[in-house]
Amino acid sequence: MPRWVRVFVAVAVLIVVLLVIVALAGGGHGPGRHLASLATAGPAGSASTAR
Amino acid sequence: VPPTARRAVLTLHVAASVGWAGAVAAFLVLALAGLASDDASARGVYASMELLGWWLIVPLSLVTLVSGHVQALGTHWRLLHHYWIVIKLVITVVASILLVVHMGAATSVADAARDGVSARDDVGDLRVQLAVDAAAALLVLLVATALSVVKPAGLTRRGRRAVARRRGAPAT
Repeated sequence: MPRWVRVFVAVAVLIVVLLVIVALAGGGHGPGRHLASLATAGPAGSASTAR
Repeated sequence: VPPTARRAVLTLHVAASVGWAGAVAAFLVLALAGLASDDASARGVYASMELLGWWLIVPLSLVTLVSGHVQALGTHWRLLHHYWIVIKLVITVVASILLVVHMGAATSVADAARDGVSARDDVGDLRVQLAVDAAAALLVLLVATALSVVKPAGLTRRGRRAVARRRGAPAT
């Protein structure tokens, strides 16, 4: 595996770990935060927004 | 894939992927403007962001994903032979999934803006998050664009096996 790929993967893993730590530390961010609103979202919802 | 079709798909892929980054940049500008807007302006800003997201950014992400697959599978590059293509594939798939999930936040804020954002404390964090998400997405998409331009060397195990097979095959 080339060195640039190893560096790339290491940086990506570091960012994911940081995001997980922030979420666990009470950032309150996670997929569940959006799913309720996503159920009613979509292009149809957008059309109603335009009114 | 015939050369003409290959060039057409490549053109579509470049236009969609660069357009995706441009649309996200516009989304970021609106998200920042929304943070500094009064209720009347915020209503228009967040409604625009919702439309931009669902009718431009999401479709462009899907076109990028599909045209990228066609381009990779229909040419000598293949999908899993080069590290830069594998990484771009991962970036595009993850970004598309996160985009659809986070569009829920844009819809929530647009709904709240109709009532007046100043009266809705519950969407304050979401408004900031929209701007942070858009900035992060723009950065990731620029990385993917840079990978496409530079095409850094590096064959995956599957790619090395394919090269070895071609070298070992009798000349035709």
